Amino acid sequence: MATIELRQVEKKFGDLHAVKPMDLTVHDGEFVVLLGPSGCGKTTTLRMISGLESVTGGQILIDGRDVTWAHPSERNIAFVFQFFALYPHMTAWQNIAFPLQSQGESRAAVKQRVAEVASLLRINHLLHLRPGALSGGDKQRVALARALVRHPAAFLMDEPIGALDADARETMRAEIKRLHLLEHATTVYVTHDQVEAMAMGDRIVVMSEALVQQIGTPAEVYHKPANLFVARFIGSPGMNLVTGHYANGVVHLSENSRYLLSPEWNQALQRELGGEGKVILGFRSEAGVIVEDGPLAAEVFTSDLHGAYNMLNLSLNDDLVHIRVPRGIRYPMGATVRFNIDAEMVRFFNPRTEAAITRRVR
Amino acid sequence: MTALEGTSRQRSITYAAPVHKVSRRARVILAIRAFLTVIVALIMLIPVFWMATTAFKSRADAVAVPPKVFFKPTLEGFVNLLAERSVLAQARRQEMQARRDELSWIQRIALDAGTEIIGVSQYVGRLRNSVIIAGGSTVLAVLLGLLSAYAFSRFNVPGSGDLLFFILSQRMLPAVVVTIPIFLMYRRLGLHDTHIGMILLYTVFNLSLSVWLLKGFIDEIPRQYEEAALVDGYTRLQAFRKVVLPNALTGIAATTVFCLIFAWNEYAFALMLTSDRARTPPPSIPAKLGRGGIEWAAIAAGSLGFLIPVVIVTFALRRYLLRGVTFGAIRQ
Amino acid sequence: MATTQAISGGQSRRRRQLSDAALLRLFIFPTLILIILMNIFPLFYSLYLSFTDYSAITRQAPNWVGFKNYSDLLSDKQMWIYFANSGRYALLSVGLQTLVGFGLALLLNEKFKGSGFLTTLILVPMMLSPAVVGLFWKLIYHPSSGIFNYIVTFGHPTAIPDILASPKLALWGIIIVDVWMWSPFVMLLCLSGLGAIPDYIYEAAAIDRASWWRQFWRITLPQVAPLLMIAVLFRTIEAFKAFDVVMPMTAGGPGEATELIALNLYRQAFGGQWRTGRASALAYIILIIVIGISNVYIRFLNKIRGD
Repeated sequence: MATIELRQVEKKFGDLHAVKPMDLTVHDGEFVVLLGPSGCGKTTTLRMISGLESVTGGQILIDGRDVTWAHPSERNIAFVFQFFALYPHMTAWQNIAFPLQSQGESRAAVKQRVAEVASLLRINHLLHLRPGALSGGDKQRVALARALVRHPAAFLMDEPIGALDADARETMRAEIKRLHLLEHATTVYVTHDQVEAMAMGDRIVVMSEALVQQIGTPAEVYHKPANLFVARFIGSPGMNLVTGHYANGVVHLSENSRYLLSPEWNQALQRELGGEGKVILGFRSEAGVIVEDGPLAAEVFTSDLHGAYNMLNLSLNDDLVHIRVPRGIRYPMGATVRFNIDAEMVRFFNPRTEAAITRRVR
Repeated sequence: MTALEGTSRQRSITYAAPVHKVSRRARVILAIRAFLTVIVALIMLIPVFWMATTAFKSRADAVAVPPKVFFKPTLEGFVNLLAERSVLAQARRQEMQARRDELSWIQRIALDAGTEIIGVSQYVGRLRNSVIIAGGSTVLAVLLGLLSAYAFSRFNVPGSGDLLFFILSQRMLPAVVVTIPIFLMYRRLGLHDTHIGMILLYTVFNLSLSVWLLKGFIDEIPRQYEEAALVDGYTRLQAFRKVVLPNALTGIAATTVFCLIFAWNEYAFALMLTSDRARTPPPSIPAKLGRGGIEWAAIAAGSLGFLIPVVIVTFALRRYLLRGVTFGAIRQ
Repeated sequence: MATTQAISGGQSRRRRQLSDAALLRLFIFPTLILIILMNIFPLFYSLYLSFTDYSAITRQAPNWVGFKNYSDLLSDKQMWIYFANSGRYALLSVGLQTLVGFGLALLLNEKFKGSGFLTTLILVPMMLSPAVVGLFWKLIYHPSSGIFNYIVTFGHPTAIPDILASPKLALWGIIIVDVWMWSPFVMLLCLSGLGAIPDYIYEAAAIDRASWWRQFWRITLPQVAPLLMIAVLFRTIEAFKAFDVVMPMTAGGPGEATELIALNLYRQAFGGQWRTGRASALAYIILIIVIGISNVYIRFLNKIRGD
């Protein structure tokens, strides 16, 4: 297995950046997810690592070897495509054997390797079928087998389960995770589904508009989003964001809502905003707590039952705020509720730069 | 419970009645449509039918007044088309008649028409020319077309839109516009009335068709197939051979047949650029005007040779006809 | 997402791109070279010839005569007759094909048992060799032994004149053949257009109580129009090129009743006259007409699509 290193890698189409210069190191055996909305450059990044797309600047290293201009076939990587890309004119067996045959392996070796990965993926009974006769999940198993069969240095997966139906997606997600652990395979995985990213990634690279927004563990991108985009994009629903005015240690959100800052936060905001100014307060829906004498007030908009809990949608100024409340409690529409925020889970953003404000100077 | 179900079923029956009426009306309309279509198809096929039957008529039956729908079939037309004959003098005819049983069946057909076969007709050579020219030009056009179509489909060819339109526009030129200079060129190069000259010409005129058709077919093969092969350790050329070609086979077959049909049917170029050695049947069938009036049975026999393959092909290619006749611009 | 690599030559360190670029050239150049040799060069050659008095059977070198050929042709009253013949032929045969073809498509649009087979049967004429078709229709039109007169008059062939011998009817004779041969083409395109109209549009119209007639004008026709226009464009261009069917059938006769412009071009270029320079000029005039018509159609087509 291998490390993958991207140094200031960029991709331009004419004057347009598909990927702005980015640095990324994927460690040996690590599972890194490239996450972002469609058109953010995540797939282009993956294709540049594979060599299917040429870079317009920067360097790509695999295991310390500069492969920036190497042909895809020389990089010893495997690529799993969104729509499987199984060769329709070959049986599953032939598909899996195809990469081995390019290396001129002996017939016996090919047979043995194919049998090994087939039993690893539990598809022995499907080997004689053509892709057309396989279900979506089985197609992707064959595609994974084709990727595994060569013992590549790294796996690159482009939304590999995006084309499957919901049931198969759950199963395949678990299987890919299992394979990753079994094979200890360095993996770069592209998806636009943040739930998937959170569930699978050792680290997540959040991208938007050709730019890397944040690189961090799932917990980091969830609890400490680097900017407003990440705060909104990660989590379902995204982070609650309310615009307020900061002055004298208090964030003024509305007439009867003022959030008293801890000394640390006060210091940080003071430093960032210089005395007073507009600020965006953010918190996760589970960080809000309804208390009768809470410092913040909002009007009940609607309330949705989510099975295990109720999601209360409140309107505060012009912003909609979601707070998780226990199942049994009902709130009439239009009623005013007061709530507080778990002090450890409150975040602040500078509305001008959209970046998160941090408590300690780095 | 059962009683309740019973009533609800009864209800549904009463409600379903008018719906049933509507569907019957729709069925009647469909039947009328089908009937009309059959009539139209029959009318459209009368000329084709007439061509097919005339081929089996005797010389007299072919021009009978009024036209004969029922007649005694004979292969005279085919013999006349393919064999060179001489008219028999009365004495010789009687002599031949006497040893009729020794003659081959072909000779007997000729004898019935008062003639004797003395060799193979020119037409056989013309057919051979057609096979050589149509075959050669088709192979070349499909081969070159496949390569360009792949390039246009998969690479960023600078100005590809203009280039492709330019290639297509070649097919829109009136044949006569380019024939004059090509005639002069060929005369200078010694290519006039040669197989190579005609093969080259038909190749170029089929290229626009084959590039456009094949590009359409290759566009439909997902790029990911080759990309998978590239990542799996193959070069682009290997990926083309092992992944693209097998998946483009139907497209290649359809294109081949369309090119064959064009070359096989072509008339204007052949008329103007060949005289004998490389002449094909279309310009020579009209020339098959015998001394004693037009030999319609022979002409029909020759035409039938053109008709049968075309009918077979039309049926074999029905899924691709639309693409074929619109240069791949429109897909079903 | 983005396409594959742009081709940028001259950077030797980009081994893969270079090989792709080389492959690209290897794949495209043979086609381009052949087209340049056999189409582009001849086009320019004949443009040059159109300004000369060259005749292919004399040994004289071509003399530059400027626009004389063009002005001669355009002031020649005979030529205008041929152009008029071609114009009438194009208008009538394309018009009829459109009607018949569209009608057939409407008829065949609804699937029934065997409709696929019938559709294919109807398509057979357009696949036939035009020269063979032209010749054979000569027999079909024959006043006494042909079946056309026989069927049209229900057994009294002499009730109408010999079509190909009548100066008034001969043009109709070739129009009928063209319509017979190519209505299926229009039908094929219209069928594909009709097939692409989603059912829900008609369902919505039915709920809105639109009459059949209204549905036809407001839904069917506009939806099929782009494809119909393409069919008309193809057929109009072909009508001005018409040669293969007419030559064996009437060779322009009787008199000059069916002397279409492409036929006359052949006659001037090859058929005994060998006026190469003048014929080249005529070829260019036809080419310009064809290009002009195509442009008008394409603009119209874009307008329809833009709506």
